[in-house]
Amino acid sequence: VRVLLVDDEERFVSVLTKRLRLRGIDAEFALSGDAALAAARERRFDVALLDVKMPGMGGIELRRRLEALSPGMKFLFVTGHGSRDDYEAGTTEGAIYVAKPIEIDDLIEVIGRYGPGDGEREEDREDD
Amino acid sequence: VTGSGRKTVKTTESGPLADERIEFSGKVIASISHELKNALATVGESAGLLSDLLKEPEVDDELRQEMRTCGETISDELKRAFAIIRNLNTFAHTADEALRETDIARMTELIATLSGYRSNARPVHVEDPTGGAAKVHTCPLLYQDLVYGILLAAFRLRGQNDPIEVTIGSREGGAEIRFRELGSNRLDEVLAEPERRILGMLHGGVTLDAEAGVLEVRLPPSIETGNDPDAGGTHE
Repeated sequence: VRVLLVDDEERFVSVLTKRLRLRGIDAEFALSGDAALAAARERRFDVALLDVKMPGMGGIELRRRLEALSPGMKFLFVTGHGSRDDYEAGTTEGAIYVAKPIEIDDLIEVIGRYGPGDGEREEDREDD
Repeated sequence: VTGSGRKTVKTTESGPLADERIEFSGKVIASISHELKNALATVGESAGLLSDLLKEPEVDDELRQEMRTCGETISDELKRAFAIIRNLNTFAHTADEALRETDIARMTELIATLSGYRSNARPVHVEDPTGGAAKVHTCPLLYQDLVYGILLAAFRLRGQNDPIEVTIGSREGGAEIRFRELGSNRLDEVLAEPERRILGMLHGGVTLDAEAGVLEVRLPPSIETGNDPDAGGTHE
């Protein structure tokens, strides 16, 4: 499973990425919506873990753009707010909402439920 | 020139002032709790990573460095969390008295920091050439509400991360607060209706120099006895 984590809290997202990698998950992180889109153009990800509130492009808008770029990608939303608005925004259309602090085992279980996507991967694109 | 719908601030806790204070306090406290949660979430993840690394069978230099980094991150984020709690404490004590002698520079710096929590840390630089001399008898919480509203509007209007410059001044015992680069030359955008209403409660005035891109807010020496020297409220 390839996971893209997007959060403007650099220390948080970089450490979480390392913890996922230690558990055998192919994870990368981006610090903004624009950086996430650039990463998704380079590689295909199965799952994106998106911070709801970020400067510039928030997680909800980023999801729309990533979906257009990578059909079939699955989404999890993470936020420090834990507010009803965030919950409702995050749970629309089947997305899962994760509140900080994140339990790593719970997160891995949710990611595992999604599994690898069936879309073409970056290597396939480069071969085209 | 337009009027600003002046209302008198009383020390009693009822009516529009009480409503304004409750609403504003709620917004600020929510943003502080969010920031605190982010810091503690990073502490939690770093502690988790440290625990993960300690389970590794062999410890080489790279792993040792990784562990050191985890410890430093935990230490830094705890400092950040305590700084947030200090700001929360200072903010909470703002409400101790409805009216009091208020250090405008200190109050502006605090609210600039708090607005950063709400707006994902867009920078605000506060300069105080008066060296703390700009002190007026006013309602500190309403003043904070006013500045908070102006800064959040500017963050929305600018849509970028360039710093907003705020300069504190003093004139005839009152205070002048100048905001630069707010992202619009329209007074109704940089000072929306709620902020105009608050300015009226504070008996203050405002001038927008559209050419220079400077919004000047003025507060009288005392909310109870004085009005803005350029009485009339809002100028454009």
